[in-house]
Amino acid sequence: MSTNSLSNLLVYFAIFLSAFNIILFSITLSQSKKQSRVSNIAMALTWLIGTFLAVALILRAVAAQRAPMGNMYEFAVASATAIIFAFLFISIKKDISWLGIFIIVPVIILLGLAVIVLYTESGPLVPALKSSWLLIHVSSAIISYGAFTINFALSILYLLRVKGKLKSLPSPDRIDEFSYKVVLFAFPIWTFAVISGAIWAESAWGRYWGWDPKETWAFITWIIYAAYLHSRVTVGWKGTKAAWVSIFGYAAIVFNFFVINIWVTGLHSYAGV
Amino acid sequence: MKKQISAKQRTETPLPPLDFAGFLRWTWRQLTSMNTALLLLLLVALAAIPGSLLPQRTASILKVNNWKNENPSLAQIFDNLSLFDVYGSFWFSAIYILLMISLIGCVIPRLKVYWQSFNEQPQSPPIKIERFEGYRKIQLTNTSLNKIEAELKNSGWRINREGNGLTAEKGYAREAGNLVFHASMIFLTIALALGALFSYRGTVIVKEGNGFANTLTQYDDFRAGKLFNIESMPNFFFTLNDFVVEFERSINQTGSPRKFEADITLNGKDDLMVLVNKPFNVAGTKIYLTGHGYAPRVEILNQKQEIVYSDSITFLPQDGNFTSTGVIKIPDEKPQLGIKASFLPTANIDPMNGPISTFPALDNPQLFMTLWQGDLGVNEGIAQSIYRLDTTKMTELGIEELKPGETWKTEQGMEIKFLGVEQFASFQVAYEPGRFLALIGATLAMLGMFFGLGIQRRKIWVLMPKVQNGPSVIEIAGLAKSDSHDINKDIDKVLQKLGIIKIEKKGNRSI
Repeated sequence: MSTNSLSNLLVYFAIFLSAFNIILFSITLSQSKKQSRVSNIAMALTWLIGTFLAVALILRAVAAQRAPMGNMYEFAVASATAIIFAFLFISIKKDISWLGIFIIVPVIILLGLAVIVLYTESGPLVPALKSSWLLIHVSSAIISYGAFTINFALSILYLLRVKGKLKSLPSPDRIDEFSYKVVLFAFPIWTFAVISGAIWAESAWGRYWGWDPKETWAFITWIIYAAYLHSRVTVGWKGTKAAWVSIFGYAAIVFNFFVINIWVTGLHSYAGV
Repeated sequence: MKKQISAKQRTETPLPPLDFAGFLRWTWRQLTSMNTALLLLLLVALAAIPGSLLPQRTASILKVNNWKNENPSLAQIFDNLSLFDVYGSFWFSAIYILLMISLIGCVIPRLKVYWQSFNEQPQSPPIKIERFEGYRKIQLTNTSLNKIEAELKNSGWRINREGNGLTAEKGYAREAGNLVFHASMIFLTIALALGALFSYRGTVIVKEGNGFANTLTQYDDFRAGKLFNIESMPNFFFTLNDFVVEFERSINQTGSPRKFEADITLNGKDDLMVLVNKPFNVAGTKIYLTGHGYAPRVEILNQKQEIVYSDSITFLPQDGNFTSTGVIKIPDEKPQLGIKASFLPTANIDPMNGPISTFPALDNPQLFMTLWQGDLGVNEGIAQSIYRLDTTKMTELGIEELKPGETWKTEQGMEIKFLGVEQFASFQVAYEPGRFLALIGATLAMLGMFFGLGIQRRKIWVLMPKVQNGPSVIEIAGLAKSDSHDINKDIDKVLQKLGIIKIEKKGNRSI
C-alpha cells in the first residue's frame, strides 16, 4: 500500500471513529455523573482520532515531500486535526468532555467534505506556493481555525444555556468565560496569520495588501473577532450579543474557506482547489 | 427581552445640549464611546463584503467591464455607488476614518490616565476586605508586614503601605499593551495611506525576445499615488530571453503548473532568473513575475497580396487550461478588418461547449478565428481595449480554424497565416515605500496585543492588625480587573512564597 493510500485510509478510520464517538459523547451529555466511564472512553477515542489524523497528515507530507498544506483537501484535514487537538489540549487541564459532541460534529462535516468534495491526490506544489511562508502562514491559520471552532461551539452552547437548555452543563457565565479565553488564544495567532500572509503577498505579488477576496474575508474575520473582544467589555453587548458576534466571526471563516475558495476567483485560487 | 434593553438604553442616552459647544462635546462623546466603536467595527466588516464579491477596478478593469456588459441594468447604479472600487470609495473611507477618529478619541484619554497612574500610589485597602475574592484569614507566628511587603516588591508588585495594611498592584503592562496596540493600528493605517500616496504599480506583458524599459508609455496598466513624482522612476530595461513553463502530466492534478521561470537580461548586462516568489529589485522598485500566456503569430495578406499585418498577439488566458482569447485590428485597410480569435494550446471538441483546451501546454495548438469587416470604431477618439472587438458596425466574413503553419484563404481572396506560437510573461512593477512602516506598525500591534490580552491587571490587599497578645493574624484578599482572571492563583503564589502555605497540584478540573 502506498503512503498516500495509507494516509487516506487513516482519514476514513478517523471519520468512522468520530461517528461512533458522537454516540458516546451524547451519552455523556445525558448523564449527570461527571467522570463517567463513557466519557473516559470517548476522550480516549478522541486521542486516537487525533493520532490517526496527525499520522495521515505526516504520511501525506512524506508522499509529497512538502508541508501538507498545498490544496483544500489537505487544508481541510489539517483544520480538522487542529480542532481535535485544540480540544484535546484543553482537556488535559479541564474536564470538557461535555463539549465533545459539539467538536466532533464539525470535524465529521469537515472531514466528510474533504473526502467527498475536496479530495485531491497528493502531488507537488504549484509554483506560487513554493515558499517557506507556506508553512508559517497556513499553519497559523489552521491553528487559529481550530481554536475558533471551539469558540463557535461554546457560543452556541452559551446561547442554549441562556435559554435554559442543557442544564447538566456548566453555567452560562462559565461557558462565556471559557469561550473568551479561547479567543484570547486564537486571535493573536489569527493576527499573525494575516500579517505573515501580507509579508508573503509582498514577496510573491508585489503588494502586501490588495483586497483579494481571500484577504478581504481574512480582514472581515479579524474585524469581527476584534469586535467580539470589545463586546465582552461593553455594557449591553456582553453575553448574548457577544456570542452572536463570535458566531458571525465563524460564519466569515466558513464562508472564506468554502465559498471564496471554490466560487470566487482571486489570487488565492490554485489548481486542484 | 431584547426590546426592553434597547428601550432602556435609549432613555439613558442624554440628549444633546442646545448650545454649539455642548453639541460638539456630545457628538465627540458619542463617537468615542465603546458602543460606537463596536458598531463601526462591524460596519467596516460589512462594508468590505461587496468588494470581495464584485470585480474591482484595482484588481482587473477587464473583469469590471465584462461584468458591466453582462449586467447592463445594474452597471450604472453600481458604478455610482463605487461598488467596483469599494476600498477607494467615499463611503468605505468615511467608515474607517470615523473608526480612526473613534480610536484616537479612545486612546488619548487613556494615555493620560495611564501616565497619571505612574505617579499615583495604589489606593489604600478597602475597609471590609472580607467581601472580596480569595479572602483568607491566617494565623502566623513569625512574619511581619515588612517581610510580606519585601516579598511582594520582589515579585514585581507596586505597593502602597499604609500603617497596618498594604495594597499591591500588578499588570500595568496590560494597559501599555492595549495602548501600543491601538496606537499601532492608527500608525498602520497612516502607513497604508502614505504608501498609497507615494507608490506606483504597473503591469506589463513582455513577449519572448522582447524587452521592457521603465517608462510610462511601456506599461499596459499603470497606477501611481497622487504624490508620486513620475520623473523619479528609476531607469532600467530588461529583455525576456526565454520563458519556461512546465505542467503536471500525470493523471493526478493534471494541468497544474509546476514551474515558471523567466530568463531575463537586465540593462543589457546582468542575466537573471525571475521566479514567481522571487522578484528582483532595482533601486527600491521590485519586479515580479505574475503570469504568462500564449501569443500566436499571425500574418495577414489582403486581396492585393500585400502584407497588412504581421505580428504576434498576446491572448488573455480564460481558464486553467489556457483557453485564450485575443483580437486583431487592422484599421488601415478600407473597409477596416478585425479578427476575434480564441487560441487553444491543446484543442479538443467538447460535445456540449464546442472547442475547448484540455491541457495548458502546446500539445495540439489551434487557432479559431472569426473575420469581421466594417467599422472598428477606433476613430471616434474613445480609448479602446486591445482585447475587445466592437462588432456592432461590422459584418462577419467567415470562420476558420488553423494549426501552426496552415493558411486560411478566405472567399474574398485574403490570406491569413498562422505562423506559430510564442509565449509571453506578465510582470508587475511595484514601488511601495510605505511597506516598511506598515511592517513596523503590524509588528508593534502584534506585540501590544500579546501584553494587552495576556496580562491581567489585579491587586491584592494584606491587613495585619496589631495584636496585643497571642499569635498575629493576616487578612488577605484581592481583585482582578477582568473577570476571566482568578485572583486566587496570585494569592496562593504570594502565600506560598512566604512559606505560609504549600500548594498541591489541584484536582479541580472543571472550567
